[in-house]
Amino acid sequence: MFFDAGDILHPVVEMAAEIMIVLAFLAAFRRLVIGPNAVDRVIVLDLLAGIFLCLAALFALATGDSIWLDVALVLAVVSFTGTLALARYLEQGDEE
Amino acid sequence: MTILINILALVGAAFILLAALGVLRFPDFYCRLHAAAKAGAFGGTLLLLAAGCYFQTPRVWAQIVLTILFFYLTTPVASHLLGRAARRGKIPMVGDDSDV
Repeated sequence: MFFDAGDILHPVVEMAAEIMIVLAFLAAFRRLVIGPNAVDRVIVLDLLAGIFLCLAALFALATGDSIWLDVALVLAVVSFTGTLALARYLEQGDEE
Repeated sequence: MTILINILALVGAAFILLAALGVLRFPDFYCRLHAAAKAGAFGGTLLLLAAGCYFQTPRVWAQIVLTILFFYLTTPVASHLLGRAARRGKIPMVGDDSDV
């Protein structure tokens, strides 16, 4: 609150954090493509939601706009529900 | 405060990168689950804390605390369910030659 919007993160720190998050996305996406089982792909989807949550929090810092934090909250809720449903589905599909 | 926010953002991004690298590089499903569950949740928490230190209004702090609590409480539950589904689905472990 003592700074103008966009001044809070050092430009080098902001760029480094964005590059690390994009690299994380690429690594997780590679596992999503090559993952040998369905459960591997489900954990990657869970992790991708976490990566986008990190990106939303970083955008809130970079733009000084707290509306991005709503995005983070909704992503947390939706990713949990999706992972839960997919895990139940995979477990039931094996019993039959 | 500026330095704290910068450090939190950088370390949080590094943790999420480590989580993704672990998911890419670890040899079997259970190791990947370990990396994604713990490091991923911790990186997101650090970045959300950085955002909370920046805005510093009660509304934003309440929202940040709610998001962190929800994220930290639900990630182990989802990982546990996935691990159980994989174990019952006979996903093999590294170094386990017997029939699971």
